Amino acid sequence: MPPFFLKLNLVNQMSFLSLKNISKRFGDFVAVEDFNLEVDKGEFISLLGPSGCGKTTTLNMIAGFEEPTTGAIQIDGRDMTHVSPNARDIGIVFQSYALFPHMTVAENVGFGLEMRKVGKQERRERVMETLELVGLTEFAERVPKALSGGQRQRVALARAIVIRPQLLLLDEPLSALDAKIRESMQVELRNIQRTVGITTILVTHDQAEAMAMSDRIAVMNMGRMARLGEPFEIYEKPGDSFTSNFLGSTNIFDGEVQDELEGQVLVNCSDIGLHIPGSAAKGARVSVAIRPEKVGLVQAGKGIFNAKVRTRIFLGTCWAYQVESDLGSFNVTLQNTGHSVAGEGETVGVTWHDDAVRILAER
Amino acid sequence: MNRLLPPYLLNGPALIIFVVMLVVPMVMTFILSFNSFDFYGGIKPDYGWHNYLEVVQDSYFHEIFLRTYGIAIAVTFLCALIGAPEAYILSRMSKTWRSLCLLAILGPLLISVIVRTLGWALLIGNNGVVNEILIGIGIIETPLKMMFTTGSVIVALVHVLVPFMVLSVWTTLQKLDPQVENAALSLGASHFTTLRRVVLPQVMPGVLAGSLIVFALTASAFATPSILGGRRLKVVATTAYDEYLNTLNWPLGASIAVILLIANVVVVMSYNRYVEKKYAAVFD
Ligand SMILES: Nc1ncnc2c1ncn2[C@@H]1O[C@H](COP(=O)(O)OP(=O)(O)OP(=O)(O)O)[C@@H](O)[C@H]1O
Ligand SMILES: [Mg+2]
Repeated sequence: MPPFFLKLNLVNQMSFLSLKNISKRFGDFVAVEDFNLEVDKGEFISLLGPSGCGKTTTLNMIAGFEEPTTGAIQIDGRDMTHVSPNARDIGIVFQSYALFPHMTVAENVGFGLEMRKVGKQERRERVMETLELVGLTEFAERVPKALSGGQRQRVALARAIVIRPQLLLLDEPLSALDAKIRESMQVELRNIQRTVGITTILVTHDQAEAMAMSDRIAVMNMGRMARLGEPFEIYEKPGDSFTSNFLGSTNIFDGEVQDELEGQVLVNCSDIGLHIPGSAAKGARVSVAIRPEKVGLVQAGKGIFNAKVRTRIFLGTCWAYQVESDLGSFNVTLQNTGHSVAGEGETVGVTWHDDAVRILAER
Repeated sequence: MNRLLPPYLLNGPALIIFVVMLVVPMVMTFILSFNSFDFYGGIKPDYGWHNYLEVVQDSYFHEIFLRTYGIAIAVTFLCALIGAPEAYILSRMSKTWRSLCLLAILGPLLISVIVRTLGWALLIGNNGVVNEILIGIGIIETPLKMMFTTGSVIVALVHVLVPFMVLSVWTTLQKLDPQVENAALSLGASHFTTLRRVVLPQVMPGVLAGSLIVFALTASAFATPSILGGRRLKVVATTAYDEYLNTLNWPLGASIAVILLIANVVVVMSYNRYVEKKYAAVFD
């Protein structure tokens, strides 16, 4: 992220990529609706959402493979809504990689440069440079069939960035990789993106991936933008129950606002009174959310209320509890500190900081 | 009971038909091709290479073999030229149009080869539909000679054999990742460049496999060349037929048939080897 004074400066400038009210219909089916997004130059944005929520469709519209039914797309101030994909100067890494199977790695990577009429000598240099960046120099003369999944993915990335596009689109590029490689590729991808400084949009349905890599995340639900913001911000203040649930797990309870004090409300959830920061009208029915890792377990009677441990699972770095209380059953994650903790069947006290609880908008 | 018995029993009927209908006649033809023949004594049961020597040395047969393979190459080339784009367009059509067009393309295969070829004769004969129309609207005075030309044989063969090319190319197109075309576009390639540099090389195995079928079928085609080519425009298959039924020189006809068979097998096998070697490293 640029320092704040630069950011202030950017506010007045036009953003690099802007999607203005775009929507896409397939017949009667609405795949994307009223989608607005402003992306700054050099920014890394993730489109995050469940399967079928319209992420790929949105990406296809930016790339020019689909035309929006309504709305406009601008890149660097130019209207691109109806420009054909080969005139947009966008690098794309497809979910299936879409490498050219009949060309070697070097030919794959060099294809975009060839189309741009870059001379043979320079082409060779830039291809090797980029292959070095993704760590595939020794594989230049192989065909894609003779590469592993992770290597193919890096070829696809090299092919997209070698043309130094103004915009890089990544459609779930890491979903085919196993967890270990995926994590290292996330770091690598982020480093490459920083080095080259390309404005990037990543499509993913993996919330951890989106959090780890992006400057900002756009959460999508059923073709609409549900929430847009920096990872920490939207994790801490998800705003609605969809976003809250989608970004990590959440315990959600129903309650009724009993009283409103300054900056705080008293919510009655199943006869347990909770003080929560925020504001709401007296008598309103609200959803209250707290993340499992923000809940603590203490001796029975010493917490806000008591609960009974139903299951306890050891996960290495932490313990995952499911406890039963008047609020219903909910999940608790405790850091593993090496000390023994409450076992199944025991009664414990449940505590948390008041400001760890959120009130969610009703949907 | 022997565990191997049931498979053999189940295969039995087909095996018997195969042996009786194919292997026995082939072996008999092969033996026959070494016998000799004269007009007064008929076929003599002696053995020698004289029939083969006659075919190999006589320029009359050279011309026939050259014509046959010339036609086969031309038909194969035209089928590829027409069939590959046809398959590509077909794969891009909406479902209903695709079924309609597929029916039109496969149509020729549903009609008996004799009927279809006679249909061509009606069209292109001296008093055929095409000539009547051309004369009627005053473009030509005397009818164009289209029957009994190499061109007419080629056109009619392309008409029947193009479906094999379309089907073969279409199968490879199905395996193509549609995103690969988008990838080429996004890298700045024009639609034409995408077709030439990305789509065509990937469907090449399909084109080559289709070529193999078309080539083999053309080289051994009989009905079309015999009806549209007539007695003077002979190909190998019609020559063998004539030796059997007109000259009654069965041994010579048999040796021609054997040579055609061997030549086709050699061409097809070496071509197949070449294609497999070329693409095994690239495609699954
Ligand atoms: N060509 C099309 N015709 C009809 N419906 C379509 C078409 N393309 C996409 N859709 C529908 O639009 C919706 C959004 O599709 P999209 O591919 O954008 O989902 P996604 O968010 O990328 O999902 P995933 O994470 O599974 O890839 C889906 O319900 C899909 O069925
Ligand atoms: Mg998708």
